[in-house]
Formats: sequence, structure tokens, C-alpha cells
Amino acid sequence: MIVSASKLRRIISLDNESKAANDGQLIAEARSDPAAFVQLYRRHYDAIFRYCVHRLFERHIAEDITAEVFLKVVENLHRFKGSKQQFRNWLYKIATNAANDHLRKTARRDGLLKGARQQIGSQIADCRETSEKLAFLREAMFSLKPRYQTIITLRFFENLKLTEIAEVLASNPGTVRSQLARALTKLRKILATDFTV
Amino acid sequence: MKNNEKQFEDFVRGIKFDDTPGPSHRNKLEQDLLGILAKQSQRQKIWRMILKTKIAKIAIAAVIIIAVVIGLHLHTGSVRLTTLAFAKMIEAMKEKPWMHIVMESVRGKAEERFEVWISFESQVYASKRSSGQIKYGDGQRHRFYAYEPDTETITISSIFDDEITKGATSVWNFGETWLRQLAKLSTEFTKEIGQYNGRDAKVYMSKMSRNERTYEAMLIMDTERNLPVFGHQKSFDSNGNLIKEKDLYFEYLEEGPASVYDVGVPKDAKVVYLACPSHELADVAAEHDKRRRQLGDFRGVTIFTGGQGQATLTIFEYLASENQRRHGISVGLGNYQSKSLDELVESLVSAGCLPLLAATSKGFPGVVVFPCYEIPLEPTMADYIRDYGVGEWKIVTNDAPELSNQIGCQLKSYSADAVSLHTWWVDPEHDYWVSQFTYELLEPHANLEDGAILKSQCQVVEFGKTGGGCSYPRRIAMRSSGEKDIEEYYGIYLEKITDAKDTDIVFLSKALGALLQFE
Repeated sequence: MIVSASKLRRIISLDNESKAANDGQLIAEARSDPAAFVQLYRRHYDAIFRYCVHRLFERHIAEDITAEVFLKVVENLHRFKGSKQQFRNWLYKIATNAANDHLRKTARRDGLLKGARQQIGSQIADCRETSEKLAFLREAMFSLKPRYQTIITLRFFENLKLTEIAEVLASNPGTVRSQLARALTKLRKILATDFTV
Repeated sequence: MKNNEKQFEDFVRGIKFDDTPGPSHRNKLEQDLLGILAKQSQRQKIWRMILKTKIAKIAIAAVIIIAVVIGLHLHTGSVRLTTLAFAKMIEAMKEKPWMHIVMESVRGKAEERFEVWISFESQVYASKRSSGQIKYGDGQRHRFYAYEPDTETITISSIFDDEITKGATSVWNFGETWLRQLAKLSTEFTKEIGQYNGRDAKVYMSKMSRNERTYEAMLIMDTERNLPVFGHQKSFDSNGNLIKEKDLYFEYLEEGPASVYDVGVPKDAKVVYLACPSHELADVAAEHDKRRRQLGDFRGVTIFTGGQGQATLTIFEYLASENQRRHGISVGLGNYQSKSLDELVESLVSAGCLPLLAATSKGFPGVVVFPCYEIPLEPTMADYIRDYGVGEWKIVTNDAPELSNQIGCQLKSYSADAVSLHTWWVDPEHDYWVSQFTYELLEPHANLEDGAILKSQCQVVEFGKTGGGCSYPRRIAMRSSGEKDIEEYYGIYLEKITDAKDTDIVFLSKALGALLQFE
């Protein structure tokens, strides 16, 4: 059976919602019960890992950042007082900060840009369309401000609503909407295309 | 703009990411996290207990019995039958020299065994966990022994008051009170006659749902002896998946453990630091305890504002009277959370949520098995002396104007991996309430940068007076190093339990009016 991407996303999103519904109790228990913590971890690991891949474009870095996220969760879970929905957003917030820190501290951004350019060269030669698109996207994304990168990733890869992105970024939905518009305009310019590369 | 979004979405859809999570990394990280959790648990146990809402400790027997009868609790619409059946069971248990309960629980792959011995006659209770932790409380000698397998150490503290002596009674009183609350609710139950190990038995079964979870419980009671012999509980998530399963086996023995060693502590375990509080300090704590009992029983409402601006309204019961025996219990009846105080007020008042809150809180009494919303500051000192009294105790003074006429009770505590300092400032002018509590971890804390020391403080900003003229902490602020914002009990409103109903909109309106100063 072939499931369209949008339908798949919706299924994942619904699945996430039902998972989130059970998180409230689990979060409370996870503070003192390792078994509950493991359940919580397993429930959110995949989403956070994917988000990190989409932000950083490299699996092994994404794994490191994912580990960092959950270490911070272990350290700070007892301080978390929000709702189940806020818990997911809290994870994204930690992951966003960790990804930004990674890019900033390791001055990786320049290296990645360079790497991306080289990759484009070799991949164009390979004429693999999707790889080319990925490399283009990576270069374009890394040239954006970290905040714009976060907004684009959360919106288009993690399918978060503007209100949810606003919560992750401690902002308001109106601001996020205008920043999203600016980010897309900038991306369009960088890619020098109408996104139909 | 919309067009931009749509086009970008299409663009993204055509891109293939290698974003499938790798099971090896996931599993390795899981193991790493579990290792870190194990190390943290000791430290967090202490500091969590102090800082935020405190889970009051009920004597272990009550916890277990109540856990069993959670399935039994709603088993009748008839209050009389419930109370009677329960009372008969309790009386039969109390007549036995020793009760031995083995609880085996399974959650996923994690299994735990927990054993308890209780003697009402000799006022002893002992417990042993599968982790190797052992506790032994001797009510007659007023001694409390705790064995930690990690450090192979027994710590001995004094049982400060006669909690164990009274505990045998108060445990049951609490259970009965709780059961009366439960009996107000109605749910389905079944009672069947059957056999257990060749003897006639009554089998009680019930099912209840709470917080998107379903619980099923069964209790088998020996018909002739009126004693529980076996219990079984299951909990399921909203999808019907089994979360946890527990078996409880009851035995009635002629003899039980005569010392902590009989429960399994190695004879060569280190024994550390028997440090009883000084007589002077004991007097302060006794007075503190006495005043709490005088306060009476109240139904209360509190608004808690968190560091991120979020606000939570909680309705609770504060049961402090002699009738309740066990002072300082507060039972959460319901709560309502919002992103900000303004939003909370607006939704409660303007949007007509008050009747809704009143209506929803109706379902809560009794569902909360463990007392969960404790007015902070209150019984921690007595509990610490009793349960964690291992360390150096002393009376301290401070010339600062706000502390000069208060009594500082200080404990330097040595746990397995941390040394910490706890100070309770007791205010004689306000009925010996603790007006300020500070906690310092005397070593760098992992959550703080640059090796900073964790220090947290809980302070009564304003005292209120009950109708009977007793003081109570009306506003409390809590602050921890490393946290920018103050968390605050915006206000606590108390009304005599005999006058206020938690489902009463007038009571809630009055509480909100008093807390938020609006009509």
C-alpha cells in the first residue's frame, strides 16, 4: 500500500498526539522510576533524532546531539513542570539549543558549508537528483540564521504548528509567521529558484 | 507567502534524508541514561523532597493496604457495607502478632520485590526491597535503622516523636477516612464467593479509570478469618496496553524480625553516625508539632506561579487535627493549570470555568491515594529528624532583623554521596511555623555551571490567620540558585473543612476573591 507523504505525516502527527496524551502521567513517574523514564525516552527518541538530522544533515552528529538532549532531560526532568504537550516542545527546545551550540562552538558551520559545496560538485557529476537537492538545501539552510533554520526545520520537517514553534522558541505565533516568511524568501533567493530545482 | 510555503513543501518532499534512527545508538544511549539515573537517584531523592511539592510519607503499612484496597475501595455504593467490611478486616489484622506482605510488581521488563513485616503488638515495621535497601523501625525503642547496600552502611536515627506508636492506629484511621471519601463515589464492583488454597474466600474485583489509565484490582479475603490473603492489580494505558502488574501475598506469622539483621543486613555492615537531636531542638520540634495539630482541618485553595510564568490552582485538604492523628496531611482534590496568572484568572472567572472546576473536582476525592499537595515547609523538620536525622544537629542564631527572634534548627546531613546543610527557621510568633527553609548542597552541583553550589530557599512572605486565630503561611516564595525566576505560592486560602465544600462555587469564589483581591 502506498501512503502519500502528507497522509503519512498526518498519521505520524496523530500518533504523536496519542503518545503525548499518555506522557503526562509518564513524566511524573519518570522522575523517580527508571522504567517510566525508559518508556518516555523510547517514545521521543526517534522524533528528536530525526529533528537533529534535519537540522544538522549528518547522522553521527545528530546522534551526539540526541544523546546530549536526553542527558539534559535526565538532569532537569525534576524541574520540568509543564504539560505533556509542553514536554515535547521542551525536547525540541533543548535540541534546538544543542544544535545551535554545536554549530557555533565547533565553528562547524563554515566547514559544513565548504563540505556541502564540494559535495554538490561531486553529486552534480553523479546526477543524482535527490542528493543534489539535499546538498542544495543543506547549503541554503546553513546560510540562514540559526533561528530561521529552526523555524524551517520545525515547520516543514517536523510539521509543527506555528503556535508550537512559537512555544519552542519562546516567541509568539505572529512573529514566527513573519520570520518564516522572511526565511522562505531568503531561501528562494539562495536557491535562485522557485523551489522546483 | 502561502504559495512560497506550498512550493517549499513540495521541494522538501522530493528530498530523501537518511534519517532512520539507528537501534544500536538508541540502545546504547538508553543504557548510558539508566546508569546516570541510578547515580542521580540518591541525590535527587533528597533535594526533590525539599524543594517542591512534598509527598508526605504515610506509614508503609497504610501504603500497602491502601494499594490493595484501591480495587476494593469503590466496591460498593453502600457506605455502611464498605466501612464495615474494611473495619472487620483491619481488626482481624491487628489481632495477629505479625503480618508479612510480599509485593511483586512487573513494569515492562523491570521487576521489583518489596517485603514488609508489621507488628502492631511490638510496634515494629520492617521492609526490604529487591535493590537491597532495608528499613527497620522500632517504635518502642524509638530507633529507626536504614541500610543502604551501595555503601553497606546502616544509619541509625532517633524516632523523634511517637509516630510509630500512634502510627499503628493512625494508619487505620487514615485508611478509614480515605475510604469514607471513596464511598461517596460510585462505581462498579463485583463480589464473588470462591476458594483460595482450599479455603472459602471472598473475591472482590473492581475497575476504575483515572487520568487516562485504567486500573483493575482484585483482593481475596479469607472468609472465616476476615483476612486478606492475596491481591492483584493491573494498570493499563489509554490504548489498553498493560503498564504495570502487581501481586500481593499476605501471611500471618507468630514471630517476625527481631532486629535489622534478621531482615537481611550483613552483620559486618558499617554503622554510622547516631546523632540524636539535642533536647532543646527536640523541644522546638515538639512545640512545632503540637501547634500544627491545633490548627484543625481545612479545605484550601492555593495558586502556585512557576518560574516560567505558568500558574496552577489547586484545591486541597489540609488535615491537621488530633482527629486525623497524622498531622500535616494535605490531599489534592483537583487542579487547574494555565500559562499565566492572568490567563488563569480570565479563564476561571470570565469564561465561566469556575462551575466547571467545581464540577470536575467532585470526581477527585479519594482518587488521590497518596497525599500529594503539601503546603511546603510544614512537616519536613519533624520528618527529617525522624527519617533522615543522621548528621550533626544544632541550634543556630542569626542577627538579621527578620531572623533575630527565630530559632534556627540546622542539620548537616551526610548521605551516600553528598553533604548538605538544611536550616529551618522556626517562628514562635507565628505558631512555630517554619518561616524560612534553606538547603545547601555543600559540593558543586551538576545542573549548575562552573561548579556552583546549589542553594535553595523557601520563605514565607506573608502569614495569614485562620478564623480560630492560628497562623498559616499565606504566601510562600521559593528560589534556587541557577534559576532566574522565583516560584511562588501566590496565596493559600483556608476554610474550615466543616464549612467548605470543594464542589462549592461560593467557596471557590471566596478563595479566588481572597487570593486575587477581586470581587
